[in-house]
Amino acid sequence: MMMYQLTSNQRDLLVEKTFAPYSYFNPVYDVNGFWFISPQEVEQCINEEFLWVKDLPLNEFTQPSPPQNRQQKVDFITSYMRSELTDNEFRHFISDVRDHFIDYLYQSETLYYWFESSNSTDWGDFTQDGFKTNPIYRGQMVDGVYPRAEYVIFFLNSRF
Amino acid sequence: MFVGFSEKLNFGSGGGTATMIPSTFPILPIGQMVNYHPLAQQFLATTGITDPTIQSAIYQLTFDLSNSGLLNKLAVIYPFVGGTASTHRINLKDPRDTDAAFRLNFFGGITHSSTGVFFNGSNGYADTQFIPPSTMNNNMSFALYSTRNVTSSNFVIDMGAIGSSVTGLPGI
Repeated sequence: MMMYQLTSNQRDLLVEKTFAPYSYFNPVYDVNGFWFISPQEVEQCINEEFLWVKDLPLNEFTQPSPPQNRQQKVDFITSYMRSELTDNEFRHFISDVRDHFIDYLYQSETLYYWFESSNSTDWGDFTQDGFKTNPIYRGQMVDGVYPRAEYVIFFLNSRF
Repeated sequence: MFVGFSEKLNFGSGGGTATMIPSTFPILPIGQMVNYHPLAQQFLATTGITDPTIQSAIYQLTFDLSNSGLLNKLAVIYPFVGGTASTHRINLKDPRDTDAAFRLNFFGGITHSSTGVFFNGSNGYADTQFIPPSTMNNNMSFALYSTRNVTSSNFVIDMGAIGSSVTGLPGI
């Protein structure tokens, strides 16, 4: 499928902006991590602020394959989110998972308990970069750092 | 002018009495005679639709839904008439042009036409802004009229949500 490719900066300019009345841009990334918008968005764009999208290059877009099992799902989420972390929003992420996406994430009940005991370093550490699991629990959960809630929800809404 | 008429006999043939007394008035109840449901009128006013065919269809839809007792059971209705994003976004159950009325916001690749809305299957979707109330619990349903078959690949669905595992939410 052919779609119009964006740079990351161009993508940031388009998010939450309209290309026509009541119609918002929705940049999506492909299997290689490049950002794209659809031909419909480009063709229907009448917002003078963004007419430059009509000059974007048209390239092949390959949609990322949905994970086929829980571990692939966890790996996919983790790799996508690894660079998007902040500290405090992890608590909101856990809360959101608990309330709305409890079925989606691997061992989300464990995440819930982390939320409830978030001040405890037994489970892991809140850091400036995010939340790192305690090494002794990494065998049960995804190793490494967890993402901000808004990106997780965006990701889940987009991909699952 | 109405002196001598009973309330029941003013409109209709017999007004439900055992003996069908002829009436010079129309035999249909006045509500059925007019068919202009307030929601339909407000929807057409908000969308600015003046096409008589669409107007008639909306009046008939609201009348049938109301008459069958379904209208009050439906939380949101998007008729997708009028051919543009500005008309497709309005919720018939609350036809105000506000987010609080669950008007749609369209994202990504979507084509609006007189036959409805076509989502491109890549990045097009509509946000209803509607969060089902907790009182619904797990007892709810939704429906749509589709003129195309979606492919089963890549988890493309007509409406709802879908997951890649057995724990995913259902889609149709």
